[in-house]
Amino acid sequence: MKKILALILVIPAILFTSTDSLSHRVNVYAVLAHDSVEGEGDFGKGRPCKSCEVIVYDEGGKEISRGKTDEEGKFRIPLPKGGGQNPLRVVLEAGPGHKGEWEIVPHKSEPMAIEGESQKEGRPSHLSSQEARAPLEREIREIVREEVQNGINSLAKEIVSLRQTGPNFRDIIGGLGYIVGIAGIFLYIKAKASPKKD
Amino acid sequence: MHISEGILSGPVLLGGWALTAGGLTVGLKRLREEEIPKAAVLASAFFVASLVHVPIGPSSAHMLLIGLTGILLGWICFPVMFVGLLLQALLFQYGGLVVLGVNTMIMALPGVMVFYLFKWAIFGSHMWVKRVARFFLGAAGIFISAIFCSLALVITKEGFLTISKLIVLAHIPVMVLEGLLTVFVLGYIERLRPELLKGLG
Repeated sequence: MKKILALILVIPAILFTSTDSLSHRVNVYAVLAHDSVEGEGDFGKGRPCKSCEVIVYDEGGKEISRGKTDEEGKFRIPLPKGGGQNPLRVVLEAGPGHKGEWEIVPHKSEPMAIEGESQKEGRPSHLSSQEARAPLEREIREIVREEVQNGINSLAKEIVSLRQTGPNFRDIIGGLGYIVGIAGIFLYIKAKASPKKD
Repeated sequence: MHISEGILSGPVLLGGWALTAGGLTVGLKRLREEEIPKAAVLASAFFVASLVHVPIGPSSAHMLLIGLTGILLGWICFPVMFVGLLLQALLFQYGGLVVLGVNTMIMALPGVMVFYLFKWAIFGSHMWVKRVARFFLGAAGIFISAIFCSLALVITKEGFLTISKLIVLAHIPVMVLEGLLTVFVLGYIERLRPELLKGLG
């Protein structure tokens, strides 16, 4: 009997799992781009979160900006001035009870020799030439950073999607195994507690 | 119906755990040795049912088997769903460990309620009355659960009607599907192994 029950319930369920098995988890991915936060959200397997609320919080958990995703699940939220200096938390709210989060830790720019006084341990003899180079160097750094960021974005996205592939066959079978194991433990305990009278 | 981590406020989370702890105690006390295999099979079914999605409109909801688990197990659906949800949280990242108490309460309490409300649908004599009742049994499991889910969200954030409407509407296809499945499965058990249902009540 139990076998029949199991067949009725479990087999169809497993067969159904092939597609579309992830509406639960909300994946968010976001990066800092100039003075805004750009990114996208999905429910896994290429199903975008359409017009969902996206909220950006600062380190202290204070809301600093919010926006909405578009039809492709992408969003671009402008930040208030200086908002990109500290770590941010991007929260995507996908309907009641469902949300995803993503942390952005800004790339701390190296102290650049822009202001002469910031070079306390510096060599005074080079100060003037460094001062002259500073704007150019800053510009180059900015450009390089942007290019690298662009190159990394797609890679980072891929890593995120790899990390969040959702339930796979192994998880499902593993879970069923755990249940059998737990049932076994219970049977053992109950059998010990009430020894069968022969 | 799983609520994600980090949405509910502390008191709601604690309340959920308290109710779940109570339910687990009652459920485990009632769990007799000969019922353990049945409970395990239903736990497995509950565990994988969450992977069967019913996509309708912008959102999609999944099967929960609340009514079926509830009517077959009564209070024992607390430990059964607790294990199912724990594994879903650990393996699928559905819900989470902190909200496990609330999530168990949201799904198991409707199961228990369905058990007491629809017990008669198991033993009735008229076939079609039974079938219709069983359909509503399956649907009611989801409906009550959706209301509990909204309540848990509402205590944290106001706007009960909006939220509950959203959740109930999103689950209408699941209600229909679970209603039909419940009719089918209970009919099947009745025909093949009626003794499995005799133990109820």
